[in-house]
Amino acid sequence: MEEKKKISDEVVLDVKDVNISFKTTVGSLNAIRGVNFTLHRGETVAIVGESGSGKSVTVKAVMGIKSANERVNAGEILYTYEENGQKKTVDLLKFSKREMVEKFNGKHIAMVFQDPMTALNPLLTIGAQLTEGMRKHLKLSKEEAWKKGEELLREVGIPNPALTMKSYPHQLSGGMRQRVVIAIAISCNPDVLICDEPTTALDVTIQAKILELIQEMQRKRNISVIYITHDLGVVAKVADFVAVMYAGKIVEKGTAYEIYFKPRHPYTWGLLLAMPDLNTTDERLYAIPGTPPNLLKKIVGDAFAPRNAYALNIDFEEEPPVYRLSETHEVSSWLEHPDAPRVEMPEALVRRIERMEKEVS
Amino acid sequence: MSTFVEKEILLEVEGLKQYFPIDNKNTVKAVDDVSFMVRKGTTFGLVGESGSGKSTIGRSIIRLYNPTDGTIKLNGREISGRMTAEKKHFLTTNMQMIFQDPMASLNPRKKVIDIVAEGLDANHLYKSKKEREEKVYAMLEKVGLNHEQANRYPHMFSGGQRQRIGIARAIIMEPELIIADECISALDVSIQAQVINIMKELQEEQGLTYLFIAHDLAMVKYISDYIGVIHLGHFVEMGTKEDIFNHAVHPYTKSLLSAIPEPNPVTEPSRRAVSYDKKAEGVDYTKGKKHYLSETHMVLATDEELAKWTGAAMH
Amino acid sequence: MVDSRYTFANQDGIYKDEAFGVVASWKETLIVFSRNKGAVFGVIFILLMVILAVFGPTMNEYTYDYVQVDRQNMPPRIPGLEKLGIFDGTTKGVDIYELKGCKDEYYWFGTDTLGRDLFTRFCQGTRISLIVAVISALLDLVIGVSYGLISGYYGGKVDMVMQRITEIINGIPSLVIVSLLVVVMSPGLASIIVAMTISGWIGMSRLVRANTLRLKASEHIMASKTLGTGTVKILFKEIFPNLLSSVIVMAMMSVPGAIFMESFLSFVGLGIPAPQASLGSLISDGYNHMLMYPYQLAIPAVFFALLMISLNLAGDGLRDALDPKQKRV
Repeated sequence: MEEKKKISDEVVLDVKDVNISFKTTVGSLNAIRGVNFTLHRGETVAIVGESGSGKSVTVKAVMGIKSANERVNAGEILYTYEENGQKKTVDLLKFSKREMVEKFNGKHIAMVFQDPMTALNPLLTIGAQLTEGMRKHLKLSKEEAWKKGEELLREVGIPNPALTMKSYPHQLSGGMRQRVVIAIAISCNPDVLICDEPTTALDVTIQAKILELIQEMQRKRNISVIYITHDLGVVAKVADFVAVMYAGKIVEKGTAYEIYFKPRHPYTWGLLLAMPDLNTTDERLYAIPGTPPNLLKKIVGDAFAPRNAYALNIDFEEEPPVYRLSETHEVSSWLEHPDAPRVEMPEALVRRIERMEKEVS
Repeated sequence: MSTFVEKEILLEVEGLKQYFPIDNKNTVKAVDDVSFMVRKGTTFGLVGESGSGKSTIGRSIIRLYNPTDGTIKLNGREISGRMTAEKKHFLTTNMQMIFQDPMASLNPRKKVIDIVAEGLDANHLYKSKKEREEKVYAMLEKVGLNHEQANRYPHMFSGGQRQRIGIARAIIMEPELIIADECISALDVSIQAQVINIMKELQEEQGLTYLFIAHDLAMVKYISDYIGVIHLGHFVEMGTKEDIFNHAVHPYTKSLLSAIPEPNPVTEPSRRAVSYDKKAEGVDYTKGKKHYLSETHMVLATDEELAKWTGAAMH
Repeated sequence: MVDSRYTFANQDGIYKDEAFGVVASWKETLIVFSRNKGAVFGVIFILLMVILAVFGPTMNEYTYDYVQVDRQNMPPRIPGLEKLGIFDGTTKGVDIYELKGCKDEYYWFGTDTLGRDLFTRFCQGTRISLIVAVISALLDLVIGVSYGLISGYYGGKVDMVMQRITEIINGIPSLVIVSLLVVVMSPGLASIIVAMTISGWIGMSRLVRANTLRLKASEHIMASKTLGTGTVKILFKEIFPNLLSSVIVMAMMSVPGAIFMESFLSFVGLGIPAPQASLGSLISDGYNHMLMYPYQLAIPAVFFALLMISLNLAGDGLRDALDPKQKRV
């Protein structure tokens, strides 16, 4: 099976070797230990990981949202955009919070947050919040912005835009609020949209609709999207490219097809198997034993080794290098070393993939 | 091995209503005339979205709320109605709950050993300090935690470990029925699998019965023997796994089933979920009757609705 | 020939869970607190005042009420510092000590109109002020916490009645209460403490009630109920420990208020009776001679101000350090 979508060659965001630590009362916590990925125009990249993997910290760095005790140890985030007809490339990590807010946030890079309840200001009308960005970045007048706001609300599927503009957040349901948040995010025509678990707080029946809405907006406006999620069902629906993060590093990345049909890293296998789908008949769910490591301690070797049933001795000594399996598929695992034993993915996963391939044809 | 319907009934709920008055005029009818049974040694999966009333049902049964109306019987004994000390003791030693939020369900100022032993303390279930300690250690080992950690505080544990402490706290009371109120919803995917495995193991070992409240149908299918789908305070459909997942009749159930995302990147992007609009379809739950399509499969519908939906199912 | 590094590590199935977190929470509080320079200064100054209050009155040979008519209004003279030209017992260039022929005597903070040693009176006064403030804060705490816990936990009618009572008490101006009390009871420590306690506990009870209402809905309280724990135990083991940090901070912040109230009462003459001293009465006395003998006002006033600031800084620092919502990562 081939992927249907052709990804543009134009690189919008290039995250290179980013390393970030947090200074806490008990020591330095190395949350991001070397992350690399690229985002092309019109592409959807999903960063998958569990709590503590560092996925939220990574995208917050792209937005310039930094805590007071956060230190960027190394790396760059190169963002390519157009200003006054000229193409510019800048390193986002070099800007201060203020500069990011002035130049990029909302205007070029926008974010949809997880909790629609707290993402909106309860004291302002929807209209006020929707027009704020447009008046600032696009220099529209109050009336123009208001009109455009109504159009945006219609576009995101809100039934009564004029009335909604005058309403307050608490008068809307969760799904409606998230649509408003999306409208605000796209209001200034950003190049990049970052969605941090946008559907986790919503009911299952609304989730699909919100994801479809984001896809539609993306297609119409040629926006590049980064999704942060731990839900592999969401990833399957929206992602072109998937990066799996564990303990501050990307352990495997590739196209969605490669990750779901040809996964190579044991952690990826664990994640795929931990999700029971409607056809699981096994007696026990495969569960990765233990919990993610404490990033306050320096990690020697592969961070996943202690929980890895397929760990090699070298996993405890040296960090695995990145192996290229195809033009798009990369794995960071010693199992790909020529001297390493041949390992097959677990039975249950093989069966599931066979089942999926049958469904596809 | 007895079939499902031959198993003994442990929990019987009849006509449960839970209303919350907001002010003099308005009342929220969180649970509106709900009846069901949970059989011994099985897991009843209670599925619904937010606002459906599923958590309220759990809390009413365990008497955190006082039911507005209805009867609840545990092992044949009534536990609804006026609360007496005897009833309270019976309830405490036979039914326990596992909560949703791993952060909030443990007192941050108490050591783990005291948290797990709380039920024992309250009901004087041990004779010496040593016995108490031993019981707690045994429970911690059972849920996969090292007993050396018993003297630590909750903030030193991860979310999954905290939920396991919550499980230990519940099973140390040796209850017959455990109500699991969305107890894995707040956990990461791979940790959910760990906790579910432990729950399944305990069920096999000790013959526990679970009332598993959740919104994730895939997980519910995996762990439940019998499933009830609840919407706006009413059971719209109930049945075994087979009934619900292969022969669903009610459009709400169908919409829930189709909303489950499939981890298949080739088919999932273009798949569109079936939606259900109660108002548009003109469905009024208070007018529906309980129709039994088989010994186990129940659908809430008026006669016309039933004909329409089963007719549609047959085509 | 096979490189052993590339063979399986063969881990056994038993996975030992590691517990997170290395530092005890009180230690972390201490670390964060000590980073706040203002708070540390506050604590040091408070300790200094406490030392003066405890040991001060016996540090020199004078007592606080020893009247010496021929030693009136002597300027301060401190051995050692007098060589630097300050605190050398002179007023406008005139050496008063020499004038009075007592070159061998030292009054560190000078004397007042009755010739009483001001240093000893100052220390005595600090002692009284601190005692009043601490006892008052403790009473507020005990009464306020109990009241707030009960009102918040039981809710409903109980809560409604209890809150209306507080509102009524709060409505009566405290100065009126104090004045009436002074008439009924003889003026002194007891009357001041009673006066301040009558409405002082209300702030604490409101804080406790608000937090109790919030905690009541917590899942661990629900768990306690399902486990059969009795109400009293829930109040003191589940709810109260989680209020502790707010309560401590509020109690600390109420001490400056109490000292100020007592000083104010003394200043207007409703406080402790002569010849006893408190910071407020010293300031009051010094005020009367502000132009002639400025040191009599300046010294207690400066220390008083610094004490207020220190208590506030330390209280602020404590609140920041104890605040669990502060994201440390």
